[in-house]
Amino acid sequence: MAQKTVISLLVVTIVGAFIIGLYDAVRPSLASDAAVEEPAQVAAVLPTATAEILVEPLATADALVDAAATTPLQQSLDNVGDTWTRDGVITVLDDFGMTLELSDGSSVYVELGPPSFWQAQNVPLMVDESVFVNGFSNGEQIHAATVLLPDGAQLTLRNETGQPLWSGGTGGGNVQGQSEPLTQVSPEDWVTFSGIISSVSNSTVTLKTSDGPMTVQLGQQRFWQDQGVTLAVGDEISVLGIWQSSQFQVAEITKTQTGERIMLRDPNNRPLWAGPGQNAQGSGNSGGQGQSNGGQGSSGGNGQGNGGNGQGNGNGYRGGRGSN
Amino acid sequence: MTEQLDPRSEQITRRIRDSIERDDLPLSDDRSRMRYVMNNLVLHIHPSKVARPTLQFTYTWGLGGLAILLFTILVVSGVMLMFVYTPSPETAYNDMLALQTDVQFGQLVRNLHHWSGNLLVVVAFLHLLRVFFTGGFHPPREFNWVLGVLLLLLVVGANFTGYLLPWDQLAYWAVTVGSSLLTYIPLIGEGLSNLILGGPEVGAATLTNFYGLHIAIIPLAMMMLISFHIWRVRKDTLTIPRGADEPPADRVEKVTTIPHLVRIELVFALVMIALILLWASWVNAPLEAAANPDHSPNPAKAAWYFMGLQELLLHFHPFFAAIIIPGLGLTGLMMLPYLRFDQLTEGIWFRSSKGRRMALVGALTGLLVTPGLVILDEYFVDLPALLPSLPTLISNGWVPLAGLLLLLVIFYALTKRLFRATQDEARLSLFTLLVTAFIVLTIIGVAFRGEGMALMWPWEALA
Repeated sequence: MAQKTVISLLVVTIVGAFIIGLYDAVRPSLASDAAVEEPAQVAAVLPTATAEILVEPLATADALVDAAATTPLQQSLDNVGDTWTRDGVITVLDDFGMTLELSDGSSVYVELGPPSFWQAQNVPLMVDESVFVNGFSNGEQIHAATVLLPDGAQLTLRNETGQPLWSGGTGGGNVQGQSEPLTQVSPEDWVTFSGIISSVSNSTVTLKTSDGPMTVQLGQQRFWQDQGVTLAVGDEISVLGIWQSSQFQVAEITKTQTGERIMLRDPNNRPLWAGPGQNAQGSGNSGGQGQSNGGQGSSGGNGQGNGGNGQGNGNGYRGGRGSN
Repeated sequence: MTEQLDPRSEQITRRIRDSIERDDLPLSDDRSRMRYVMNNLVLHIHPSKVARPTLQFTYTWGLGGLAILLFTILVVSGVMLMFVYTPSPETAYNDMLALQTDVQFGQLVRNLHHWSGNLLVVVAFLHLLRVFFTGGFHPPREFNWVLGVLLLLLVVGANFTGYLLPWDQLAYWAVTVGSSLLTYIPLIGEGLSNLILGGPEVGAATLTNFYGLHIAIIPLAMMMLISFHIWRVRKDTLTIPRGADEPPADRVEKVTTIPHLVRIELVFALVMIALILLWASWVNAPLEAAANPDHSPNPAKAAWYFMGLQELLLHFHPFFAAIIIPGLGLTGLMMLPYLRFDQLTEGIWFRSSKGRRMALVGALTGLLVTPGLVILDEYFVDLPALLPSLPTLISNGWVPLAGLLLLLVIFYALTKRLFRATQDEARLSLFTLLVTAFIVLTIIGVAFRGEGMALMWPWEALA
């Protein structure tokens, strides 16, 4: 009797997981099918929605990514071209892109961006796999914004304006300002802390270190969670980052037990989930003081948009959306 | 009045000798040999006579005796090391350096201690396997099996606490990783970890705690348990080895422990001491840079015997990898002798010739399927991504565990049916599969995981 109960429990678990997995897989593909079938409707709705998002940047940062991920792209930047939406089969895959065989038999090369960014999302692409690509084409190159897999998993690479989520700042403001390179962070400024996680939320982790408790901001929830590394209370982690005023900004988190890493910032301390704000445009005169669109539309959210010499002091992370 | 002198020898040297050793040497007959065993402090752990078949070396491989020999080497070399070692973060690493450069034979003594400690973990594990595969845990020896499992845990504990003492990078981070597994125990995990580490992380208090455990508490506990274990072996008697499908003998020939058993033990001990000395003379115990709590090596690996668990952490939710799966394994190991077994298989390696084939099937399955599952999980299947609506505790914990358990149930039922095997033989095959899987996981963790714990070839991972 006990044996039968245990075996039944195991079977129910596996069957249940299979059904849930199937349901999870079907759900996003249904959503994307609907989006493909009704582009006109979405086109009419999105600008308004985007405007609303810009007013409430922090609360709706995820919504913007969702919009970029599940709706056809409405507008693009000059250098990335017009929106391009196709499905096809991957025939060749390299670190920076993939060759797709389209339904008409032709082949195109679709650029995915830096491997460190898209591979960190733990959405494995494979040759012979059918994918659905939302992106941009400028006649010569095709840049993917989202890549949807048959199992519902999705790579998110650019926002709805074509701005790469790994860099950002490709324009979209009113007046072009001159970009200034970001200051390099001195190697001496990087410090490492080790500790045990005493609490974890979607955006912060509290560590118990030898120097006492320490709270670490993780930034954009979807970005670090997409890297497939779970953080739990009791995990031993080490964090690498720099101090900015009294705030510790984390670039990399390593789980001591497993060696798994979460990458959050690049060596210039630029958030990987947001743009650097280069080319951000001030709304005033070029070179003058003014509010900026800090490389608008990254998924970053809240911070300083000090991109071009328009000195944009937005309410997003550096490179995130500045206020208009 | 005449003097009445005691009956001792007239020679004072003879009287001194007799006060130390009461028996006449050399021993001339079986009676004196048996008496000598009973009267001798060391030899009286043996019965005065033993069954001749138990002397067959390929039955026990001398693993229990070797474990005691290694324990003795560890005690002696450990006491010698204590003369130069101070358990403090400021001095520990320098003591290690001094031991290697300033102290006569310091490096050799450290090498002996280090390699004997690691060998003891292996030997104790092999001893457990030997007892299982020859049915040595069948009634009335159930409780001695439990004592053996406890001793194995103490051996691992002794090694783990000693791991930290050199206070180098290897030690510091291996202990940091290993002890963090404790924190996954619900409710008490964090408190337990703080208690053992003397705080939230490895530091000066950890060193003194580990030192105390390593030199006093664990060795004392081991001495007590080893005595109990050996006493129970005497009381429960040894299993009598037999060939597969050979009926049990009605009468077993017995021979005196001296010289038959003692001679084998002595030769084996001398050969092993020579081999260990030779190894320790040529291969130095590792010592890396001094511990730096601010800089973890990449990858930070636990001690090698915990690498199976660390490998599990890469595939399961931590609660399952560090608590549920090891807990199930340990409980199963403890409860094993309390299942009902066929007494007639006792003393036969792998129970029968069919059992031998089934053990081979179990081992081969573990050898092939375990790396396959690791690669599958590493590159092809991402359960949390496939089941995003479930918490990772379920999607990456219970679901894969249920899948594995189901596979094990299928394997058990299939082998039992295909081989028309007894329950005993099917269990043996399953046990072999699980042990092989654990060994394979450990090897993958040690040799096939490199920077970022990514899978790679050993020459890349260990470079």
